[in-house]
Amino acid sequence: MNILVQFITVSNSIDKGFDKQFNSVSFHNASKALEFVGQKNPNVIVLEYTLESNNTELLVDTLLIESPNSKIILLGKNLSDEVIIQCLSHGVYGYLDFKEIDMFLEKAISSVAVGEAWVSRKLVGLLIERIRG
Amino acid sequence: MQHWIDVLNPLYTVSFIDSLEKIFPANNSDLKKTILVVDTALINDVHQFPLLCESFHKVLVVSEKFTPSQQIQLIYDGASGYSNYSIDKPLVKRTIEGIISDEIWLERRLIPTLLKGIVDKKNASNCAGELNDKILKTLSILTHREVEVVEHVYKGEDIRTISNTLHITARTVKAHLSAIFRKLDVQDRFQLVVFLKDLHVGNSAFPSASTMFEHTHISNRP
Repeated sequence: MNILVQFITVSNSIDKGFDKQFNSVSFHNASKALEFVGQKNPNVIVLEYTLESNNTELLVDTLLIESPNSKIILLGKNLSDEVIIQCLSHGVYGYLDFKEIDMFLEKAISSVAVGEAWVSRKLVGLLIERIRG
Repeated sequence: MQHWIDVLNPLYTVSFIDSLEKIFPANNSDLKKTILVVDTALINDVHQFPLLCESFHKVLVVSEKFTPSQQIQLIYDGASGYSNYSIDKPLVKRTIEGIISDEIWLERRLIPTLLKGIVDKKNASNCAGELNDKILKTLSILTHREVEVVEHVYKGEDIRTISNTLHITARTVKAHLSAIFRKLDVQDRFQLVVFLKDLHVGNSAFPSASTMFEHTHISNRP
């Protein structure tokens, strides 16, 4: 499957090495990223949380308006369950901590691209508790 | 469920009951430390389910007859998980371990649909009160009287109450229910309520049978 992956990150180190596995493109600026998303509708968007740390949820909403079928994987460093759950409730399909990138990012992208969610059952449980409460 | 008991007995304190009436009234603080594994065949009163979820620490629903969307609706309604009866023994153990660890136990392939449903419900919260076209289309195969019966079942009323309200015999109510179950392809009243919630009936005011009937049959005119 030819997966178009769009990286939206602060640093330019995360996306290195993925060009061979996927058709990937990187942005370090949210405005340009949004423009690309609307035009190209990538299969997967890998979004680094710190890029818009106060507005990540808003950025997620906007990305999904531009490209409703794109699946977003959130990258973060030691994000709290609260933050991750908040992003899940806005439509993020997966979460990966920075320390897991080398081991799992490729697998996460491949899984999410075919419609799976890359999120632990425990986080799903916490999210459900939140909406019930 | 005997193989469930066989697997779990050596690992946990397991007790087996064959009727939910033996649990209620649920005024026992020990229930809050207990995980309930419940066969849906025992749930006769649809109001029992939320009460079970409030009374017990966790509730795992076991059945063979729930569709994926109905399984997801059970989770929204308070269950911690859904499983088929006939899973193998290692999976029985893994299921309970997951529930104890605060995981939501659902087939992995359904998690994206569960998450999407949460997002959709959040986004659809402005639509409360509007008639739901999906409900109308689905229930348009029922007669006017059958829709009235569905409305009362959704409110949690028992057969006697429905027969008194609609001025029909209990036998007639049961006949209508049989027809409703057959047309909507559900097995019992509990599954009917789960089915209706899955149509997002709960997100909008349930339209009266008269309104619904008139609306669907106007829509069906050429």
